[in-house]
Amino acid sequence: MNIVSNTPRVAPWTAWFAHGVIAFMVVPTLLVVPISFNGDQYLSFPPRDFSLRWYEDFWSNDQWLHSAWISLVTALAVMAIATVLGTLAALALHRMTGVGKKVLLALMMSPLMVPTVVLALALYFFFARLQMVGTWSAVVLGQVILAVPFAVLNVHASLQGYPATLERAASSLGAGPVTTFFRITMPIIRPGILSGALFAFMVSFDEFIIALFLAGPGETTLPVRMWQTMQLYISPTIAAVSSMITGVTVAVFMASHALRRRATRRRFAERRPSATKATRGEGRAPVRTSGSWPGSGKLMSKEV
Amino acid sequence: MLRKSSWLIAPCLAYMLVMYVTPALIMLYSPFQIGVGSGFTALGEALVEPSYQRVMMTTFRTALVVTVLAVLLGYPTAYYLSRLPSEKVGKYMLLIMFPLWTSLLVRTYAWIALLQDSGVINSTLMSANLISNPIRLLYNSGSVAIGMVQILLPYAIITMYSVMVGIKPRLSQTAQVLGASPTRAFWHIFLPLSLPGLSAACLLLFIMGLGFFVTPALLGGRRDMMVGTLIQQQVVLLGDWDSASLLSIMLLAATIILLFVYSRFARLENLVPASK
Repeated sequence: MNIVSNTPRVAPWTAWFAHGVIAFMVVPTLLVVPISFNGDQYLSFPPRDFSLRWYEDFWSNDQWLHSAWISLVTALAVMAIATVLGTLAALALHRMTGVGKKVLLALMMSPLMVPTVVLALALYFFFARLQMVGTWSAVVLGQVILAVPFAVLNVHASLQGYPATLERAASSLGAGPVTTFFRITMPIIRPGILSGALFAFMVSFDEFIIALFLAGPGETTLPVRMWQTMQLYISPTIAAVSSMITGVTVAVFMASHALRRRATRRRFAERRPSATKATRGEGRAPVRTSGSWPGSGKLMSKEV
Repeated sequence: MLRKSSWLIAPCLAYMLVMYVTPALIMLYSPFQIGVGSGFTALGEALVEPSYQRVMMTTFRTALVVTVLAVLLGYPTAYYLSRLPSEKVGKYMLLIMFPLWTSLLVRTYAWIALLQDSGVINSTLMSANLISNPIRLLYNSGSVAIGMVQILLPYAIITMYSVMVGIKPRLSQTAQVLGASPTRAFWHIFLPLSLPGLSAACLLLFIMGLGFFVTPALLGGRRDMMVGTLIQQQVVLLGDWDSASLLSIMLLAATIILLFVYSRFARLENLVPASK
């Protein structure tokens, strides 16, 4: 293996092009931050005079605050339900093989491929029969469906390379199934559970279509409130809200990145032999095996 | 303990059956409630209804355009990343993942703030005296495409990158040692090997593009309405459940057919890298 073959030269224009494309993906969203500090009624850029009035507008408006609160509570509830369901399902799926596992996994993952509008409509019909349209619980129950895949995936990924011998050792030493779970299994898959929970939280916090269909006027979540406001007029207050949401997102994103890094490090520390197998790409470090990208679990999020 | 742990799937399975499969079946069944024959008649009528056809055409055209654009932009980017040494890729991946994590409404709002008449681009151009009147950048099919491409790009890049990273740099180098120009080596070696990633990305993007709702509704004009928006309007504004479920069945059918095609090209699990 010589050094030249590991660092192939690419045409310089490819580098410029790639940087341009990545800038196109990231920069427009970040522009809302300077816009939100603009004192002007219009979204002028560069901002003319610095002001916090749009932030004051948010923090002094009961409707915005109520929506933020609803979003937070909803996301926490969705996170709790989806994490429990998903962790249990991943533990079961990990030990399954064959067609049964495939069918079950496909069922758990399919909400990511079904257009969310279709799912929201189906839930609308369903909850209408139960007289539950416009209730908070309907929103939570619906969003859990979108969050379950992420909980399952993250825990399932953290179970890869999980040494079954540890459990046998524990039970041969007299530990019951529950003790084994909390003392052996749980500590090993904790990073997976935590990042699954973070994903579930973010999915619900961002989720818009199910909330739009199912939420009543008293349960307007933050994204629905933003949508309603945008329908009327493009208020700079939304820039302030957007900046705050983006700030929180970046924080959660970094937390999840750190979690995954720790999980990957631990996994490869435990599995030296398989680490070499993963190094297919000519001396590339095994960065991209079993979901070690930050946020790769969210690859399939339906956010359209 | 995990050995006999199959029952642990029961709560999740029960939840998905009650909250997800049942509602889907109820919706699929709803046109056939009166009778199987009249259900199919209604479906057939919906398929030829001119206003639905127009929206369906817009939906398919938009999905096609954004797929082509996102793949054209994403392919060189994924190529560049796949040829980088691994320690440099991580930082780029963080940037590519960033949009996936950012709230969709925030991103859509950012485009409005950028493109509207008094927005960032127009006010910058006007203060630089390059234009005297704002250019109409928002509420047309162009702004919808820009917004959708930005959302789809991470999926395009990651899908193609995961295939490209397995293509050994030595293959192209061998071709060049044997006398091929870099361009020829790319077209004859790299491109054919990257085709699985390319086709997977195309199908994935097209499927996702069909179901878009927020972006066309907020960034598009009246004529850019896609089927997702139409479904929502039928239910929320008009209370027309029957039309909404017929349109949903059409959208779902298109998605399932394309997913089936996709499963011929690539394993469905590949859609979700973390599951590998």
